[in-house]
Amino acid sequence: MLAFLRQKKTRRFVLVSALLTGAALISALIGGLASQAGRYELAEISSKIALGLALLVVVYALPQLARSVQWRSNYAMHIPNAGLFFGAVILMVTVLALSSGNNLLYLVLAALLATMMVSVASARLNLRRLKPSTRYPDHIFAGEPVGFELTLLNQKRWMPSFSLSVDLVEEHQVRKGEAKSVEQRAVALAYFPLVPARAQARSRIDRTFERRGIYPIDGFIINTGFPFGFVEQRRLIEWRSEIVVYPQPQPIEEFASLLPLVTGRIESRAKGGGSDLYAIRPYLASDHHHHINWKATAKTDQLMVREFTREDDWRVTIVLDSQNRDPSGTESGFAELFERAVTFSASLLTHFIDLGAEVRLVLPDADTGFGTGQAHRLGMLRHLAQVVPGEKELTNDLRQNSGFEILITPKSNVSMAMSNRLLTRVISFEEL
Amino acid sequence: MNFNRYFIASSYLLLVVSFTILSATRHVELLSLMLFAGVMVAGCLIDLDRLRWNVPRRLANGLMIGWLGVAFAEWQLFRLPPISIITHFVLFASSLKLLRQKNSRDWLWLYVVSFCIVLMSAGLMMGTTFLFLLVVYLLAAVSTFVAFEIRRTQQNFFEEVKKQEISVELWREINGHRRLLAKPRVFGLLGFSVLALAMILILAAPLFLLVPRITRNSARNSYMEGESISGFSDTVRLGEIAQVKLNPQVVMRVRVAYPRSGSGQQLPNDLRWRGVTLDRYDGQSWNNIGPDPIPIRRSGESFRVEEPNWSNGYTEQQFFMEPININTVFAAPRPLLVTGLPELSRDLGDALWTEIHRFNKISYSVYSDTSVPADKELAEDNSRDYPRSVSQRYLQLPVEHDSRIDQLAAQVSEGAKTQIETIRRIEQHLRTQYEYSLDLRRVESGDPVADFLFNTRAGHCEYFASAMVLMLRSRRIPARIVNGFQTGEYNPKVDVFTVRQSDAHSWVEAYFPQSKWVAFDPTPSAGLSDYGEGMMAWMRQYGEAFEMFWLEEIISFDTTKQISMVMATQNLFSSFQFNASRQWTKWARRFGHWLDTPPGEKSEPASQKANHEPTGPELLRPVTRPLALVLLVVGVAGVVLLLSKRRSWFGNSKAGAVRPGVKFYEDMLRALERSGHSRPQYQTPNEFSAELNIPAVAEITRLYQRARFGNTILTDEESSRIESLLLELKRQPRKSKPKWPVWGSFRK
Repeated sequence: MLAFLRQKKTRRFVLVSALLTGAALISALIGGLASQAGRYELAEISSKIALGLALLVVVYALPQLARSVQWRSNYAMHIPNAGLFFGAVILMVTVLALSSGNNLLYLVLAALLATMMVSVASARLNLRRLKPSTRYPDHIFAGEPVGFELTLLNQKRWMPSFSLSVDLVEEHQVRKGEAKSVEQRAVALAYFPLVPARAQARSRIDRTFERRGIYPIDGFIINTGFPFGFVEQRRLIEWRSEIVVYPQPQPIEEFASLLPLVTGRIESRAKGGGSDLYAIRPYLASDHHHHINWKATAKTDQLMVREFTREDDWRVTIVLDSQNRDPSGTESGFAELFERAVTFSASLLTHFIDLGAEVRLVLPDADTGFGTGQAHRLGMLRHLAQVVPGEKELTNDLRQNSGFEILITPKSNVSMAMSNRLLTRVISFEEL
Repeated sequence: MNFNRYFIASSYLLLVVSFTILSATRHVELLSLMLFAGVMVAGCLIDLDRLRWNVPRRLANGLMIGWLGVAFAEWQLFRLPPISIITHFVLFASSLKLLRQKNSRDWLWLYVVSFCIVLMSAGLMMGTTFLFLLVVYLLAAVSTFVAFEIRRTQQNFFEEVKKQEISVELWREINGHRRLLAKPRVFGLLGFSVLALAMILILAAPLFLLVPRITRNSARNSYMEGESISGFSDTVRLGEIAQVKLNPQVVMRVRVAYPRSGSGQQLPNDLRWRGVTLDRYDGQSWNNIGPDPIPIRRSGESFRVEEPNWSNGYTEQQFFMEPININTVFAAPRPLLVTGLPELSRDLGDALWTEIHRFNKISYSVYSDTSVPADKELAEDNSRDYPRSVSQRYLQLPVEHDSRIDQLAAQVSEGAKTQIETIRRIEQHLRTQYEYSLDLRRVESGDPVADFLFNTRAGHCEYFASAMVLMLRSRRIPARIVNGFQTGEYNPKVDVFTVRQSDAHSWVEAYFPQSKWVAFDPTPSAGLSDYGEGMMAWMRQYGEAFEMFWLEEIISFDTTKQISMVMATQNLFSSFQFNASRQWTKWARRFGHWLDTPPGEKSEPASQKANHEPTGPELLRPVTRPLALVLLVVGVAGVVLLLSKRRSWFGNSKAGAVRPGVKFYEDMLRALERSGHSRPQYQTPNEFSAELNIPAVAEITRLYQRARFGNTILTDEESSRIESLLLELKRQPRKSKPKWPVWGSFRK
């Protein structure tokens, strides 16, 4: 209970405050006694000392105490229908008791009122000193069930906690007509009938995110209606994080009709090109294990990989034009087309990464640069997870050696300049 | 026991207790109770899936409407009281709910019915039985609602997560090792229920006292009919009281307020609670043939029965009467003053009467002159000059009077010179020559008193008293029967006499011209109640004490008591204030005296001190000055500590000084926290910096790493740079905390 006194700063604060307060009180006491005894000079001096010390206490202790006070409560209370019904019962018994004067009815009334008090107090105690934490996979793809694991630690020394449901508060973007807004959603994660004192409880639940995106997490809400369900209380625990939901890449065969040329060229090059040794360098996590040079590894005593020269043809640039032709949103179906374009981009880059090509993703706001391997793929998917239709135009200055370029755009007619720069393929949303 | 069974068991316990409370009101017939008990067993089997039976909902609704016809028939044809009709309907409707697979709504319906039954019973019962059953009911209710809440929330959760199979793992970390815990048991819920009940009772006690009372506590228990007691009416057949003597039912409790029995003061001898007097004997029964009792005028809050003569000594008694079917006012002999009753009347036999209180408990106080003249005094009061009213009423003998009684009286009193001597001889003869027995066997069919005196020679107090009255009357001494109660069992725990029906007693009053009516008791000591000792008596006393507490503090609690409670609290505070003020003045005087006394001198003359016990402040005087010095030092130390702390607040990062590596990094972390970036514990400073990608953070982190681990002292320029970077970070806008919506606005 006095754990806070273990902190040196707190000990010092308590000691100084106690000393000052004690000295002020004793000075005041001496002043009072002296005044009563007719020693007014002494009384005056003592009172002044007391006043001075009291001022010191005010200056020293009050600000610190005020800082430690949590002005904003993280607890909220709600009276459900059962509680309202119970309140009506209390009212009825009150009327009966007052009108009849029957002390047994007063006894029942007192028991009901006490029950309400116990209900509120025990619900609050039930929620105290609980620490939730959650674990979920680092990489989540839309439409794929993922396991969310919630662990709840009851830090109370003696008291177990009963009937707790834990929700995760996520922010979701919603669109109402033209207006977009962010709303918080409580997602049920776990229910624990009992968490014993000093124990931890863990529960796992499968969730599926239907849409890609970044879901900021604001925290947890622990709800309880314990013990009687007359009062529901919730505790809000801030815990900032975010869930990144990647678009789900589809098998490229679905889009094969759109890319006969592109896929053909890539695959023909993959068989013969890019075999010239460029350098031997230390191994990075994103390197393929086939490229490990065992001889160099043995000599240097660290994992070394071969780095090959690449031809421009091995590079693929995927450009997703997210400019919204119809920002007012009057044209129906754009959002769906855009989502399909994003999925298509994800599918493409996954396909090319799997083939071993260097892939670059260009968006109006981001350019990932060329890269290979799963880490790069996930980095690109992250960009795709958060891309939203906007007004910004593609302004990226594509480099000369950008390899195959695939522009996925909502525009039906791409300007000459753009089509001149883009060498390979322009796919409009309507084609998808 | 798994959770579901616990829930079912707890719910049925709730129902059983509530219907037990209902049956304790005696308004439900045994047949109904037995049928309902059978239904409960069947319902329980249905809930446990041992019995597959379900009353369809529509059929149940139809039957419930149909029962209204039965209720009408009960009302019109069988003339049943409304309470019975309501009870039957409740039992029937509950049975229909019980005989089906119950959902949450059904369970709630049953809980509400059980609560209504408790409320109704509160109006029908008043004993401690109700309190006991209420406590059990509360325990069952707490346990049931806890289980119900868990069950409901669990069901809601599973519906929300689309009925996924979810397993919960429980463990406890002990010394770094994880120890798996078994599946939670229901005993935890039971333990919590007991604890919650204790809390409810603790909180309910002050609430009960504090809830304001508006109406008088008069309408209560209007359905309850009190016990009827034989022997306290105008006509009493001889032998009736024997039935009463076997009944342990409490009739009343009496506290003798003065002289106090617990205070060592002497209680009057042969204290008995006088009820009715009977004057006419017809050979089979005793009658009271006098006119109707005459009402006594109220004088303020009391009734003055006789002109009080307090010099004789008096006894103040407080009576707490149970509901009984008679209107006799019991009191110690020769009542003078009665308070606390709505009305009072008195008959010619000096018995007191009030309105009948068969429905409720009443309490009243009586002041009686219990002084008894000594035999010597009575011997001088030997005149046979009785008033006409006395001789007419109290010398009467039956027409067919058994002359053997006269002969026996003459024989026993032969040679007696005074009236008191005659009375004592007859009293002694009956006490010593006859046996006390409640097993009455008649030998002759004639006068039962003659049968007692000459054949059976055994009887109870009524026979002894009747025999004595007839013998006295045959000797021309006016006498009458008095029916009342013996003193009762004294309970020191609450300082009351508990009087039961088995304490009913008959004795004799004989008339003396000067001393008026004097009591005599011819019954042998075997006829007096023996209350026993040991564990049973101890338990009985505590039970009685609780009953008395219940009666005085709970049932009789009203506005007056509430006000007196507030006044008592106020008095307590006033008394404390007064004492504190007096003590303060005393200390101030001593303090002034101490200041006036030069060091080394005694503060008081030795002569004064010799007879003076040193008080607390005086004992402390030798250490007062050092103590004051210590306090001064302590105060100064506090100020110094405070100032030293202030210096650290201002900091000392002036030119040339090197701030500790951790300090400025911690400042940075705090600044970042304010803007919504907090470093998770698992992240290294570099990882954190890389994640944030803020140039200022990267630079401070680099300098921190150098200062902290590079064993390098930062230069003045670097320190200044850190200050400016920190300032830059602190100027970043604070990230607002997430706005938690009000209750219910979350979208699920």
